[in-house]
Amino acid sequence: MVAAQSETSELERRYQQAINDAATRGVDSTVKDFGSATSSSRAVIARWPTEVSRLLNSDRELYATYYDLAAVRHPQGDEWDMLRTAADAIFFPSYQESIRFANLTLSDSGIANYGSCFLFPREDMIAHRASLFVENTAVYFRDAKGLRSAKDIPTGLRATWEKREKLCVIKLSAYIDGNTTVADFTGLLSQDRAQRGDDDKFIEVHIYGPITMRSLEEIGIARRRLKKYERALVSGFSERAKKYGVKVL
Amino acid sequence: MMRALVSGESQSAVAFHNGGPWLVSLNVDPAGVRKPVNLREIFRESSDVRAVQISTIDELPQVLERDYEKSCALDLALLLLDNEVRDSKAEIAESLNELLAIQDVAEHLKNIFYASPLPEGSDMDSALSICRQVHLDTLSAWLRELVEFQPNIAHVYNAWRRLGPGFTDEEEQSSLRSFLVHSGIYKSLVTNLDVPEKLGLEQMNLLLTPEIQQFPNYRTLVSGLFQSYRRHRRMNSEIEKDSEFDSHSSVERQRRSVDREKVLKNVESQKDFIIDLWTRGDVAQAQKIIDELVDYQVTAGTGETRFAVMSLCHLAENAKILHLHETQLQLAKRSTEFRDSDARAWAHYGEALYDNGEYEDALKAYESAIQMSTNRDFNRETSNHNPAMIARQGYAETLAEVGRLEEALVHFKSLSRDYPQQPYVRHGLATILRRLRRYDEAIQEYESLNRDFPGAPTIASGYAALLKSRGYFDAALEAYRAVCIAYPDDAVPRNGYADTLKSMGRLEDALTEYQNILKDFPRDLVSIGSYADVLRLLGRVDEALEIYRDLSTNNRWDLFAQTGYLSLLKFIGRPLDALKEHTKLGQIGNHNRALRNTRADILKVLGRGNEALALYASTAKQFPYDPVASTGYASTLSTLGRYEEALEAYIRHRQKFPDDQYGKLGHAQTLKLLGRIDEAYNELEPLVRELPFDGAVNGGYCTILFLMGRYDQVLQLTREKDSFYVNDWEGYLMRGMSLFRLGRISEALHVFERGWWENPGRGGRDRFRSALAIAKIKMGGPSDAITILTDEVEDPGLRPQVAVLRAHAFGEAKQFDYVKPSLDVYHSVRPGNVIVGPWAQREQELVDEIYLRYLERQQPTKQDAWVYEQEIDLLAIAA
Repeated sequence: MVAAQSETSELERRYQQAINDAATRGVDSTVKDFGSATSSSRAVIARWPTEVSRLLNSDRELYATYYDLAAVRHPQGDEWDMLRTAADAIFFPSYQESIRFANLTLSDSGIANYGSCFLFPREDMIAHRASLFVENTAVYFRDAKGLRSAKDIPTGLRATWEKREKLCVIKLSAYIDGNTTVADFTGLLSQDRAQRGDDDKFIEVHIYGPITMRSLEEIGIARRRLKKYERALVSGFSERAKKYGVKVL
Repeated sequence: MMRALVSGESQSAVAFHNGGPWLVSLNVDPAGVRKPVNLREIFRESSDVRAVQISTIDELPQVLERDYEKSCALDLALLLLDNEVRDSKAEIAESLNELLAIQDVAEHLKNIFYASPLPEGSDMDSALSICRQVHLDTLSAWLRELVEFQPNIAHVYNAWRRLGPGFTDEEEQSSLRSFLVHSGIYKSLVTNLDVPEKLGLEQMNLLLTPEIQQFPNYRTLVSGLFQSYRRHRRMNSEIEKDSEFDSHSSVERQRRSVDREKVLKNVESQKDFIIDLWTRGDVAQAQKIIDELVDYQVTAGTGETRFAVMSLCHLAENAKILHLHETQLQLAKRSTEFRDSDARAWAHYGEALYDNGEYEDALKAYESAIQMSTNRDFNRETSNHNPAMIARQGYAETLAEVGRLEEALVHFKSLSRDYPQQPYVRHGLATILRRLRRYDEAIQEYESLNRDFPGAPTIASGYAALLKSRGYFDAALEAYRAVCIAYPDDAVPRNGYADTLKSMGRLEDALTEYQNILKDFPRDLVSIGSYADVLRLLGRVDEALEIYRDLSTNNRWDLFAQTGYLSLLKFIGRPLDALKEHTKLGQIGNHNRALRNTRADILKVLGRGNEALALYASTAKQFPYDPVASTGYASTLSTLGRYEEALEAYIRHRQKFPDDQYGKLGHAQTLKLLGRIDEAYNELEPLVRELPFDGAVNGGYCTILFLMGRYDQVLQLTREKDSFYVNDWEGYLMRGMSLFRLGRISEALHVFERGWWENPGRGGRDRFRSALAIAKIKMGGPSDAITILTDEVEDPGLRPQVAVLRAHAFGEAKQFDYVKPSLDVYHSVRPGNVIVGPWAQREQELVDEIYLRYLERQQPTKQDAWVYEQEIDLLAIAA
């Protein structure tokens, strides 16, 4: 509780500081507009078509039967352990496997490096169980010095879903200048840079608990990025998704 | 060497070496190796992450690519089989077809799909259909093989499940199963299931596999698996003795040994006994044995209802052969109640319903059988006993019976594509083309069949029958002869040969042929009946009657024998005897539709038209797709003078039975009775072109031509014949009448005399007799006419006209005292034989003229020629 209160108050303090800074530069109006825009931003989870297919169909006996048979029981050994990152141990101690990672977006797509299909959860299904961090926690962990436990994470860099607007302003107001327009907001919020050999830039969303088809409102597909066979795979998505009331874009 | 983790599902791989990890992803261009930033996001919730050993990291992209293809293939295969996915299946199938060309991918998919039977929600039918439409051979072959192995897959799957939770803990069992699936060992168990000698080898190989030895319980697990499914392997006539399961290695309760050979022998023996009881007519006793047999099979040691179901189906087949269609139906129905998801049982039930004329229910039963045939039954290479094929063919045949001929054609075409190696299926297509009167296509189909299945007796006989129906008698004889030589033990082509001779009018040759057939097949009912029929046509009616009487007495349950006997009695002018014989049949006569129709026909002949009508109506209601009841009803309405209703009934009949020529013929005859000759002509003219060798159609057409005054055309269509056959007398009568009208009296007399003496049928003979009498009167021989017209029991339908004719003859012979009694007979019998409309008018005018001339002795008001014209025309419409 004390930690939560200090997170909240620090978040508020950083937010006010960002606004004041923007006012000094004469861009406070644009920053507020950006803040307003991000208040209606959505979480997006990027997945590959094969992963989405599992999500769509695994409640059907036909699929469940053969997915189960196709599953490889997790290999034992050091390699698997190495995939359990130190970052997760610090940010999500003891419950890292229950976290689903998304990023915040103002567009109809997510970070393509992570998948060519973009799952948009319904806000009412995640608002109560989602929190945000100012950037990719793995990148943050890599670049931060002396981060050994959760206590070492600075406050004011995390937010609840309702306060995401403030986190966005805190992170990105410094990049808003006199030339920034509404059209730039989308690119400001998330940047897909892996193709350039750089780190992707985004505000990370942590959703606790599973994401199922019933949690989603839309699925976007980057059709130009689909590989061979994936076109056929996604061609079946619409019919199946319709059953859950999920639109496929 | 280094280790790596690979996941096709997440399209990423991570190698661990030289300060790794190193990431390879299919989604980064170029797909090179790089340091991952976010390891957690690499595999996410993927379930196919596996560890591999590689020599260099350069191998990893290829390994990953292949795993990705495997993952895609699995998803595509599931989408293809998903019955809720409709729109995108073609694209899915094409991609999958491409993937299956990669051997690793095909094997991987097989490993997975052979580990479990296809569950609910699978739509193999659509998948195979798409393969056909888009010509995806690789995928098609893969799917068909999967279907073929479904029973084996089920056996191994069930055996695995029977190992039970007490055998090992769930996680170990799960791990073991995963290993067996991915290593292909599971698939190998499935594909070698029918090869007993391989089981031991497989078992040994498995025990020696290092991977499986990591499981502490591995010996127990492997032994348990092999023992369990060996016991539940698909059984045929092979003997299998089971040994007690090794007690120290299993907690599952095992069954005792079963001596299957003894059980099978007992079953076959009981079935033979049942068939023998049927042949002797002891149906009640047979039923008791059937009940005992079923109980025996269920409790004898197999405990599996499917063997009892197989016996019921087998007995149903035999009941059908013995024409015991009601018993066939009972047995088939029982088999479905025993095992309501057995496709074979439903296919047999459909067949039994079909044989009993319950076509709507047959369609439903066949549909059930088709829906239940989701596994090996779809295999196109299986035998004639493939339930899915039987059901689909039965469904198509039933569609034809309910008049949905075009739909039936579509189904037969589909069947022929799916089962190109099955001659009976393809013969079905030829048959339906023939029914649709697409004779050229039918002939082409037969020629193709003869090329693909040279010498197949059913096809050759069917082809010969088609040739015969088209009047190519010599070619038909040749075709039948070839089959007879190839299959001397088959009575069918030999009957076909003899029947062709009969159709050609070569009755003596046909008789000789049937005598030879009966030497080889003395108990063949069709041959016996056909032989009797030829005797009848040759005028040797007493001999024919004796044969049919014996046939009927010795085969009480055989409908062919009973209907043949009754029809013969009616034909020779003994309808009352026929009615008595029918009544003796009791319940069979009342329930069976063929016998009910025969009774109705007899009643009609006896002048009890209203009773006939009621019986036809009730039969048609119970068997809505019975064409005989339908036309019988319409023709009885016509007999009762209710012509407009008859016309409506014929129109309804023709809508339901579009290929039934007798419906069209009856319709035309009713139009004739209404005096609507031109319309009757328009009905029959195209029919005659389609069926130039159908005697009844030809005769009806000749009558219409005669009434239209086209005598020369009648003479062209008819010919002086060597002998008669039953359907041809009307045409010959019209020939005589046409000659009479053309003034060629002596030739007409010759025709009338021959017809009177030689025509075997009561009704036909009476008409020739009347025509002869008219001719005699015209030639100044009324006394001869009187002689001709007396001392005969007449066809009741002809009695009014004969009475008028007698009055005319007596009048011309100046035996006036006999004129009034003759006219009194006319007045007494006319109400029972209604005619209306213009013919009634003409008959009344004729009677008035006869009355005026011979009773009132007044001057004739009409010419003599007019009198003969009325008499002849009225005789023509009575035909």
